[in-house]
Amino acid sequence: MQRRQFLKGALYGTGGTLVALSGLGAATTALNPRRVAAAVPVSRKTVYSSCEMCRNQCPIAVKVENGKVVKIDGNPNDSAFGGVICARGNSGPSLLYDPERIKKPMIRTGERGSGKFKEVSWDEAYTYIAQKLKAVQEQYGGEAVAQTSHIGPYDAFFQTIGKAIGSPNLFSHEATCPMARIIGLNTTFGTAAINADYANTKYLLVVGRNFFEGIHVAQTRAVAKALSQGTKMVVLDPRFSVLAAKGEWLPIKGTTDLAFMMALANVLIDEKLYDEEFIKQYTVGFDKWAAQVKDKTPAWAAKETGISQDTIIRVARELAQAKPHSLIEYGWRTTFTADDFQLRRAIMIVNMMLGNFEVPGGYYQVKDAGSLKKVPAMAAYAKKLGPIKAPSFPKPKKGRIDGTGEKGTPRQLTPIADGAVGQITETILTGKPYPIKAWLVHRFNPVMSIGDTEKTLAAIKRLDLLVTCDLYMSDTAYYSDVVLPECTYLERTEQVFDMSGLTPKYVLRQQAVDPVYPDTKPAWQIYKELGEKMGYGQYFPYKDIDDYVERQLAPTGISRKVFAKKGLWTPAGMKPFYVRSSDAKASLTLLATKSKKIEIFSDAVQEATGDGVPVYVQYPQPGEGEFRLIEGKVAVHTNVGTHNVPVLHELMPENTLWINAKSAAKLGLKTGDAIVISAGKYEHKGTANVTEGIRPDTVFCYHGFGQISPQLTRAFGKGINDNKLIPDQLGLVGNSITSMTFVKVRKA
Amino acid sequence: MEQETAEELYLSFAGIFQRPRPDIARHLEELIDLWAQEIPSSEKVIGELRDFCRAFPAGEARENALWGEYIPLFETGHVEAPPYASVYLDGEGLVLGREAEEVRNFYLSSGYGLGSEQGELPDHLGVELEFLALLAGTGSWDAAQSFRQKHLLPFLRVILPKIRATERPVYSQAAELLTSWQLGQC
Amino acid sequence: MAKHYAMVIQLKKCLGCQACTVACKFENKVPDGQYRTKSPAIGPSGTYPHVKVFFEKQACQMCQDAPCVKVCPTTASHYNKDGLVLIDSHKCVGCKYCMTACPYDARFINKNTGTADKCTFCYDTRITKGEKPGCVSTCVGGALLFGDANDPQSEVARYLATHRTEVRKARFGTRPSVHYDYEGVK
Repeated sequence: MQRRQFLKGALYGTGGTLVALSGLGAATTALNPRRVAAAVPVSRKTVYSSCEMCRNQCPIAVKVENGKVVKIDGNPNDSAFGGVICARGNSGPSLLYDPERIKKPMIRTGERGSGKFKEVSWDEAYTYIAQKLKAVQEQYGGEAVAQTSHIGPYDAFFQTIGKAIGSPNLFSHEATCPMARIIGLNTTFGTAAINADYANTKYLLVVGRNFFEGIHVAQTRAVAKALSQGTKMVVLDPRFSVLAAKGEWLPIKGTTDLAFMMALANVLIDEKLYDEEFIKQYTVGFDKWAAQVKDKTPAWAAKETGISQDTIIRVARELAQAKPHSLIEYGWRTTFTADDFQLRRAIMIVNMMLGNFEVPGGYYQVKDAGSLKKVPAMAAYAKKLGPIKAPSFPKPKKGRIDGTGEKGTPRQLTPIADGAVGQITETILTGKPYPIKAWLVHRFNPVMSIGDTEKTLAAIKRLDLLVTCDLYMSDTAYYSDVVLPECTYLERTEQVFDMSGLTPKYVLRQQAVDPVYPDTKPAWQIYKELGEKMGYGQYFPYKDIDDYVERQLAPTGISRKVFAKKGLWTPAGMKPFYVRSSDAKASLTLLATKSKKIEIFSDAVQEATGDGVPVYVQYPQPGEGEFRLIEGKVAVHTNVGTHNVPVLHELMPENTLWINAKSAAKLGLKTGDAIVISAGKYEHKGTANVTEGIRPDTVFCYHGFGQISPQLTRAFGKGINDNKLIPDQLGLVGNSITSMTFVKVRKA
Repeated sequence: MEQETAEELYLSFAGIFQRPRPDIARHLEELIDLWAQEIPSSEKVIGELRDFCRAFPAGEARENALWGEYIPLFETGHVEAPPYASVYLDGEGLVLGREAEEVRNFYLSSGYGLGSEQGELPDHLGVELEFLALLAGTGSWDAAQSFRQKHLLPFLRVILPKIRATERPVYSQAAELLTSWQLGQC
Repeated sequence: MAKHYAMVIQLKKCLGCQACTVACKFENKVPDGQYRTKSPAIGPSGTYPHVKVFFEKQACQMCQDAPCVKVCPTTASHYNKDGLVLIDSHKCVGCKYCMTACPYDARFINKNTGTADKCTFCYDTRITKGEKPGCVSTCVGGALLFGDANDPQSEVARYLATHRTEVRKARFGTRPSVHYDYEGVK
């Protein structure tokens, strides 16, 4: 009988999961009324929100039946999307209802990397993190805490922790992706908020980007629309991508894109095909650029790039013929070389030679509230979001570990909000310039995203604290001391975000359903609660996310109901606004540079690197028996984040190594052969995909495969982890370098 | 089987298959006594369970050992046997499917709802077993039989072999005992 | 006049992104590992650097002279009033005759229902509500057109009247309602 008393006490007492609704049993837990209400037969609603299967935050319409997400469509109220969403966006319910998600906070109980954890309450997790962080702060200073996140709405909350601690070492993932482009734009236009009007362009030259596999729904649709209207597209890429299949493929030698750009400029000047009026009125430093490209003839570039002189000349002429409605795409992942940002600058300079700024089918400055205010005729459409007022943070006692912001060095150009994330592991291992002892990670997977996986793992072992907040037991979470479960985007509301383009646009992510696993939480709540536990409550001066949204919207006069009804806000009656569409000489009052001109020669770049206009640097090419390893995205996966999502995994569980048919023949390889890829220090097994669609000196694999967390059951160990082969090498401005690795391939 | 014994057995398995808790971990020996007494089973299984108790005396070490098995078995990442019926019975490998809905409605029709404190899904193995304990305790035999046939048994037939196959201490033995009791086989 | 729903696939606009593949799975609750539609790559063909590849969406071709309907022993496979080939799952006995007869390999036995399954153009869930099929609505490349081919004003009718399109495996005389425009890819 004693036994029975114990069991009854344990399970019918506070420990029970079921409660009697009407006096049956010994209910002590309050009934959750939302759960009961959900049992009423068939209630249907559509919740407008925004996707998070990648970082683009596309507007979506979530169909909910009886409290369950049954289908996700693109938001039909947004004409850029027209109800369309990609495969990843469509697969949202597969993530939401995945039994493999993290469900409760966990603290490690075994050795790091043993995979042994126990579940704890949120309060225990916060207490543990707070104590460890305080200890690091006391012994080493606040700067010994590093934080990394992918980049997104959570940063407003996540980074508050590090700022409150007094750490300067906050990093985004941008250095592993678009940062060189951001710097290229910042130093040329004074802002990175420069978009391209793909839908209306008549001629599109793409440099390595792949709109049709690295899908950004609005931009992909815009390019597809242009193509269907007869736009010509030329694609520079060592690999035959899906995009290349839809245009003219020019299989350029890796890392020589800058030579191609300079030769285009050379032809445009030589044949007087560029827009001289535009250059005169709106730019500075063109003469220095002209001098720089004077000897960069098509004949020279042909040798560098492997693209014939005639082709280069023809492309230059075709671009000029279609100008100003022609454009050269500025790139997405811009980590090709050590000075990739100069390539991005060169691309934009040649664009400006086409005079394609602020006209349909060209580039334009984003028309958000901030830029519109500077244009008197349009100022009425500018509705600036309200600020969230909080006390100012303590000033960090030391500079950043990556030298970001240091005057007179290339890192003065690195955006302070991004930093050189690849520096962290180096600093942890060497203690230089000073130790990093704690690392907080939010929705980012450094083990798979910073070059040299082994180095990252070695660095992790030296930490006093590693905390990861994610949806899955990612590779980094697996090695963490504390793992925090965020709820998915379908289970949370977030602050209003700005998605302005040719008109202002605000989008709101709105909670579609209750959290499937009730102990998962949104980032804003996690970091607010952690902050409060650490005594930093003053930096989170809002009650909850609804309060936050209300404060953002208050000065705009935009009602929250607009978002409930349509999911987004754009100013009524405003047409897409290009400053120069009707007047080619219109003043560019919204330009954000100090000189109020487009800076072909940049003083800042001159000060930082000594090269105020882009200068050609010749990088090594693969020798006999070597291949350049390049990597890219596939339409059904995002970076390293979705490979364990059931339906996406089912569509593409594994990657292969693309190798040119002639090169493969020399090695005696057929498609399907087991191979070993050697980068010298590290090797990786894989499978060969013999194809005509790649340069003979290049091999390619889709990124994000071969994951090393055994707890990603589906994705674990499947395919090639390119990140193991690519060294943790940083460029001038701190960008990771991902296209300069040479490998050898042999039969396994 | 007597009403009280059935209730006790359901409760004991509910206790084991829900997330590890200090009180259950502390009283593991008593659960083993109950199983040894009520379920015809090989001495081997009971012996293995007692070995575990000796290797991990009640307290933090035992709780951590149970977590070390529970998380990879049921919870996060490398989930060897997701403990939710929908994952198996709905064909899509996802939680909160039709089966979960039906189970929840069954609870409601019997006068029970899910508490918000523990935050568990309705078709978690431990919750279904707890529900049967509640029905057994109140002598609701018809409802218990109906729930068992419609929901518990089809679930047990797929999940118990998976748990047993992992050979994880405590859980695989408990699965074997539950197989023996509910599915009439060893 | 009776309706005749038809689809046009403009191959050059298809990106092979599989948005349709996934949309279909959720729209129609297609079980794990099974598909009503897929868009595999055809190629690459040619020799470096003159290479081609395209993607060909594959699903039920909605034949007007459908072998599956002819061989179905229980009349589960039938034509509906709007010219579509549909399956009455209550009548289907899972004999697989239709799967053998289909020249397009468009059918499978649904793991959950045990009956034959295939594309319905989302007849019940979308078309009858005035919406386009799930794949058409989510097509990122804008490659899919859908409508009533009997209505000369419809987008599909106008397209078919002005473009050269093909049906797959015309030699079987099945008269499909899905039309492929290979312009720009072959």
